[in-house]
Amino acid sequence: MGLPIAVLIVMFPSILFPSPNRLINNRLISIQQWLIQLTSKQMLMIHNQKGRTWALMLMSLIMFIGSTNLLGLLPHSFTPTTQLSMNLGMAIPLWAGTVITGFRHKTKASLAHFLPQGTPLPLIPMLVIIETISLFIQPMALAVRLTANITAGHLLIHLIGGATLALINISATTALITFTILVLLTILEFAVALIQAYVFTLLVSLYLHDNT
Amino acid sequence: MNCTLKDITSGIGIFCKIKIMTSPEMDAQIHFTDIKKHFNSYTLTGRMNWVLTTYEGIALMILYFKLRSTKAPTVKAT
Repeated sequence: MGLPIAVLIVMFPSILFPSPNRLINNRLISIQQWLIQLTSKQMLMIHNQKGRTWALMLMSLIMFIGSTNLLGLLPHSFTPTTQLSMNLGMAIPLWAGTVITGFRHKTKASLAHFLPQGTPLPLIPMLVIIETISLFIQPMALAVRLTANITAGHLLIHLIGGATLALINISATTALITFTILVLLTILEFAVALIQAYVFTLLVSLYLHDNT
Repeated sequence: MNCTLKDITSGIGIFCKIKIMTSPEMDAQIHFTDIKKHFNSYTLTGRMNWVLTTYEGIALMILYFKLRSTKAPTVKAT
């Protein structure tokens, strides 16, 4: 076919979210719809009319990152969100979209945002520079946060799993303790997978809120 | 609406708090005169002007150093 397998892996989570095609759907679709409604209500509460036009984008983002992270916890699977290139590819366009929206619709407020209210006169130039740098660091932080969290978790699981296997022949008790740690770590990684998806989407939502 | 909250506590005798709220909508109530009308860190216009001035200043500095480096003659060691 000539298609890289990474493309198929990235597209795979979308198969797990079938489109509702009936008024009353089956259990899987009903549960997914309920979860999406719960998340979207909570996330879009702070937004005005303009911000809510991003609802589909934000919900797709959280579903994609969450499902990709969870699928990555399967043994011998590949997690696209461990690749910095992929996370930068998500973070930079979304952040740039929020910034450009802000500059386009509220130019004065967007520029004034670079100087906190009530800043003393001698500190103004320094603070403007610092605020500008902090703005441009936002997409980098978004991407690196997701990459580092998922990569670190997978690495820990890999190392502790290897240590458990190695310790089985040496000391069964130590291997059991290490296995218990591995189980607890895996549970933690399930939580981290969902939390990181939520944090990524929430931060994009907050940047949007600042600019709409 | 973006609001900033400032708590001021009186340290004399009775403990009391005064909340001062400022927002972009209340900018009209803040009256500045002369240059402070356009350059202050309270109103939207004032903050925007300071930001633009800072960027222009940085651009001018970069331009100055660039032009100075192109104008300076190269000295050959003998």
